[in-house]
Formats: sequence, C-alpha cells, structure tokens
Amino acid sequence: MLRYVVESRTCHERLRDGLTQLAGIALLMMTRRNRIDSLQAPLDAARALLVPPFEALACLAVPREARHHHQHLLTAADALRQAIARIETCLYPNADERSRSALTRSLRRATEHLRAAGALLPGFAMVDMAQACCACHAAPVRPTCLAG
Amino acid sequence: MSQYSIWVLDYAAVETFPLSVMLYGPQYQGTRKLPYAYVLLKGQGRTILIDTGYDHVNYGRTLAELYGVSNYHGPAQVLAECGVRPEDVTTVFITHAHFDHMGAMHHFPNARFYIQQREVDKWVWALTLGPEFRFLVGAADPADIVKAVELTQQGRMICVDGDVQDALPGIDLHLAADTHTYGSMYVTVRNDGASASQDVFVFAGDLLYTYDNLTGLDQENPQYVPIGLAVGSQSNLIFATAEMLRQAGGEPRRVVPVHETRLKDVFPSRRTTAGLYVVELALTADETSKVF
Repeated sequence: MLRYVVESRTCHERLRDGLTQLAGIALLMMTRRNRIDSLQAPLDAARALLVPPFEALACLAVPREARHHHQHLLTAADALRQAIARIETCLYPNADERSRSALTRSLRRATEHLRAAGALLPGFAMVDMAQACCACHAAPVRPTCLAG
Repeated sequence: MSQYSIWVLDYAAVETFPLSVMLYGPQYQGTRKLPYAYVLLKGQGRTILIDTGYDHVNYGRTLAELYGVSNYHGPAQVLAECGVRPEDVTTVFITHAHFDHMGAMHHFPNARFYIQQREVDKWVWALTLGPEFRFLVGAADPADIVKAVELTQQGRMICVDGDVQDALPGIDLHLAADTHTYGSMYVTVRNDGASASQDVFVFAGDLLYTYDNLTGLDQENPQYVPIGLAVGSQSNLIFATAEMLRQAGGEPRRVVPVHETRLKDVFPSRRTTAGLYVVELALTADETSKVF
C-alpha cells in the first residue's frame, strides 16, 4: 500500500499540474478568442507533461484497498485526455459554444475525480501548500495520523 | 460624502505567523497574528467584494491541521454581519490567483469577476516550464481555474488588461506586474467620486501584509520594506508600494493590507460572536454603522 501511495501521489501531482495548465489554456482561449494561435505550444507542453502520469497510472500495482482511489485517478486521466482533444477542436476558428461546453465538462470531471482521490488518502492535495505564502512558513503541525 | 460603505471582514486567522514572511528581513524576530480577510463595498447600487477568501470544504482541514489556520467562517456568516448575502454580491475584484483570494468564487452566484489578463497569461506560461519551476505557480488551485473557465463561458469572468479607470464609478484597477504574483492587482476607491480625490482608499491585496511594509519598523527612519514572497521582484514590490502610498495621498492608513491585524485599531471595529473583526472604513449617508 505504501508503495502505491508514493507512486500514485506523483501521478496525482502531475495530473493536477496538467489540469491547471489545460484549464489555464482554456481560460486564455475563451478570454481572447481572436488571439489563440499562440496556444498550440502550451497545449503541446501540457500534453507532454501528462504522458508520464498517464503511462505510470496504467502500470501501477494497485492493492485491493486502493482500487477506489486508483479508479478516481484513471477517470481523471481519461477526462484530461478528453480535455486535450477538445481544446484541439476549440482552437479551430469555427469552434462553437457546444465544443467549449464539452471542454468545460471534461475539466470539471477531472477536477472532481482528482479532488475525490485527494479526499481518500492523505498527501494528495489539490493545492501545493508548501509554496503558499499565507501558509508555507507557518510552523507545520505534525498531523495526528503521523504522530507516535 | 462617501460613495461606498466599506468594511474589511475577517474570515479566519493564523495566530502565530512569522514576521519575516510579512516583512522581508526580520528573521527570528517572532510572530504576529495574520487575519484572513476580504473587503466589502456597498454603494452606487452595487455590492462589491475585493477577493473571496478560500473554500473551507476543500482546504479547511489541511490548513487547520498543518498550518495553524483557525476560526474559518464562510461568506454567508461573515457577510451577514453587514446585512449582506452572498447572492447580493454583484462584482468581485480578484487581486491575484491564489487559493485564499479566489477560492470561493462559487459562493457568489450573481457576481461578475475581474482579474488581470496578465495573471492568467503568465501563469499558463510558467506552467509550461515544468515541475522544477513549481514555485512560480504555488498556491494555485486548478479547481479555481476551471471555475474561471465556467464563469467566462457564462460571461461572468472579465480579464482586464492593465490599469482601468472607473471599472465601476470611482473604482480604479491597477496592475502591479511581476510583484507578489505576475499579475497582481490593487484596487483604488475614490470615495468622493472626484478624479482628484481627497478620500482615497487603496486595497493592496497581498502586495502588503502589514502597515510596516509602508514604513519599516523604525518609525524615525521610515522606508518601504517588501513582503517576504515575490514571484516577480522585491524591487517591483517596493515601487508598487510607493505608488499605492502616493495614490492614497501619502497617508499609510489609507493603503489597506487585509492581513494587518491592527486594522481593527486604526478604524472603528467590532468583534463578532465568532471572534472575527468587522472593520468599518467608510459609510454612505444612507447606511447604518455595523460596528456600533
């Protein structure tokens, strides 16, 4: 189980970072619709960022008690694959509102499953608090689950 | 005559926050209380927030257990101290894209949100640099960005490009590029409505944590001292600080850092039954005080 936690946590972080990036691209695409040519490079970067966690997730040894958690990660990964494809579609000049809505749904689905995975095990945060200015330097309290 | 009633509303706090993060330099010089707060403005037929706070459902436990953030209360309870409901909020200015400033957008179903385009642009760019550069995008929550995408689709998220005068009557938005974050924004309220106002409040977001950023710790020999964390540069923070103080007519108390625990002593205030402070900066003629 410990090995699963360690390995899947890296996957979760990478999926989370990929989601942030794809959502950012989607936001740029929707806020500056006539200046979206430059978004292909960030999209390629996001796609490249997500290849390792996609592959690692497929290869993980999943203990029985982690199946539910793993399923959330797989579903999130699937939603992110869809989001990439839908951003590609939305980059076409004739993309319509329906395509953009489908993209938003994929991003929302990925968010919900990553968050659900985060709620099942400690250490799968959606925000990297270690870099958060309003929290990072507060004296960390040892979590009760690690006490002893 | 004030155009807007203005309150700073605490919604949580860190009781012991290192001074060296609030104010660059004083290492090993102890801690202060760091309130988490947002700003409420009412007037001109609008109800306006500067930042939303974070969402306790998603982060509360982590923040409480690991980082000592306590006494969180949600927008419904906090705003009720001023007779406002979350659904009454018409406009939200997001000073920057950290979870504790834009993490509760979903609580405001009727609001339009304003953020700097540069904050989004540079963030996406920084994310392409790879995980080794994650310091540059720390404290960002993907769920907030997804929410922003949804709001954009609904026509409720507006990305502004640089400074905007009279974004709402008497309210100006200012870009402080490459400071605390890439596209941090501060909000100036000319509360008499005049273009050369004599009644200015500047809301600094996280460009300042404390009044001491405006003066330093030596009152006899004041200086600008930046906060401890800049994705951009300390230099840019110092110049932004100087500009905010200039806009406030040189009166430090009018440059408002929402994380400053002494706001309650500088302006009329009230401690709520929840142990949070309501700080009253201004009242319109038709508004009753919420602190007396």
